Amino acid sequence: MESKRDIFEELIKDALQDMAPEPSAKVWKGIVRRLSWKEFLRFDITNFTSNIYQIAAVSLAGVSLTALLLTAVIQSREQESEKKEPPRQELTEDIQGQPNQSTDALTTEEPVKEPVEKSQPVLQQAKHLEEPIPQPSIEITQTHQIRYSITFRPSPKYSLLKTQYPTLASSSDELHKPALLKDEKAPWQINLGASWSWNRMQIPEATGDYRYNFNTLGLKANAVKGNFRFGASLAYQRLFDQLPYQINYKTYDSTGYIFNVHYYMPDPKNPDMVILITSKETVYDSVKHSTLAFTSGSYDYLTIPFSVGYKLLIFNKFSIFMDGNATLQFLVHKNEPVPALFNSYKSSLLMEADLPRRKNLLIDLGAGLTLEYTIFNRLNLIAGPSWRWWLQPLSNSPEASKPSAWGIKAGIDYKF
Amino acid sequence: MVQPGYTDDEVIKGCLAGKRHFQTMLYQKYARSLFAVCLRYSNNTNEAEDLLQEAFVKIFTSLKNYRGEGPLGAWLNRIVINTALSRFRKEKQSITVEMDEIPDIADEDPQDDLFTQLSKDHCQQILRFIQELPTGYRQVFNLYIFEGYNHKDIAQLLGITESTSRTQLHKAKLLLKERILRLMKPHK
Repeated sequence: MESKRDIFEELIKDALQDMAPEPSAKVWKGIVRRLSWKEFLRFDITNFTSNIYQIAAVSLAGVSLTALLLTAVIQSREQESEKKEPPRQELTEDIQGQPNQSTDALTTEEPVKEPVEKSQPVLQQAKHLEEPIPQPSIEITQTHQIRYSITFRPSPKYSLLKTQYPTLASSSDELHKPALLKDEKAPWQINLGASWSWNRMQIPEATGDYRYNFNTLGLKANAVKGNFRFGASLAYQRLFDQLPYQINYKTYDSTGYIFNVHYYMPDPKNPDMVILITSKETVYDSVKHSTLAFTSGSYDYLTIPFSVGYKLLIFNKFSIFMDGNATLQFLVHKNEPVPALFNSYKSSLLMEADLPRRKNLLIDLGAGLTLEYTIFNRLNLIAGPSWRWWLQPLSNSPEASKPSAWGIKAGIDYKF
Repeated sequence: MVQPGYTDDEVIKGCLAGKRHFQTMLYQKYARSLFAVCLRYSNNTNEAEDLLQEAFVKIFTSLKNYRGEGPLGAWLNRIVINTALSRFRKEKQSITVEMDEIPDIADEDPQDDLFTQLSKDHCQQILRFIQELPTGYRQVFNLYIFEGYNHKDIAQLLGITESTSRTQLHKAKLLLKERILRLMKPHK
């Protein structure tokens, strides 16, 4: 009985031993999807390039959160300050109570007599606000000079006094109208922000342009003075390139047939002829194959763009800047995969790759427009198109040509 | 499916570096043999494919634990079996109900000689019969017949007693014999 059982087990085992069915394609797709998600969630501090999306996401979230918190804090402080502020009527009444202090009087072309003295009541009133009054930066001797001093944007510290300036102005409409600042009078201001850009790369090649999309993520700092801004960023971008591989291999294939003559016999119908009794045999030999395969190499760059921009236009909460930049790109990591070779490549596999050496430093020039939208008084959303031209090819290959790219950027920045 | 130019060690290193290209190679090399294992431990093809997918995700995420002490294929096989068994443990409650419904079957069958006619041509039918076994019977049968575990190991793996393991194997074999005999009789 026991031996019969063992035979049964062995028979079952033998029957299924060589079974190797093919799973459907959806299995591998599912594995790739799940692995991609796991890789995205995994954070490895030793591998900068694999964590770039996490770093970018956390940075963006951090900057946004900080900006929102700062905005909320500043707004609450300003509200508290406004509560302490004396009613504006007092100021305007004082001004209006003074002879020759009416708006009309100040806007006349005649020189104002003792203008500084006449503004003393305003300054005295302002002292009640527990804040030092900024010294007027311009001599108030003529009407048009007074207008200049009013268009000068007070620093945020004295923003609560901003509403008092119109009392000295010839026309309050002019003050509230968004205006480009006089650069020599404007204070320096620092902006910090984060941005992402989607780009369409174009590399001219003899066989046609090689095009692909790539992303750039970065943090930036701008120094703003009036309508000009000067910036530097630290960004990360991944570029791609085609990698050609010349693959030679041999397979053991049929190359023809031979007929083996086993014996012969006279042909009874024709005495001059013989009948050959043969067998056909297929001849196998190694066959050389040669093919060209391409893989896509990825190249990670740490980039430092230096930019200068000029504010072209302001309307409501929108501003439009024209930007120019020069970007230094340092190669920090590259991945050059070899082609996947499967069972058809039987033997004598020889793979030759004449891969051009990538340049470790690239420089490109760029231009673009930036539309800036103020969400709160300090937080801005930015978006706009950009164009980039590389000053040299990406590799040392003599056939390589200079690439170019256009893209769309989006991000936020915060004014300090 | 062997990729010339790469050894298992190189493929493993590539997989550990997270390179999809090498992961594809590993999958293509072992997917078929592991899928056969999955089919034996599952009720149907869809369930087997889910199991294979789950097992391969575990393989790629725990490949760093492979120390190269044994053949890679055997290590992969163990992961697939462990994945199948962990699924089995989750479904254990429902399996108990199934086992209770199995009728008693006679120990001996006078037509045992018919089994000698079994060949590889019958593999699809035999696989179907194994898949149709109650899950508990199937796991014990697979572990004992195909993986070569003894009843003590099976009892530890499945959280059952040794005697339960023996009983389940016995009943699984009887059920299979009965079905195979039904299959073979028309050929006689």
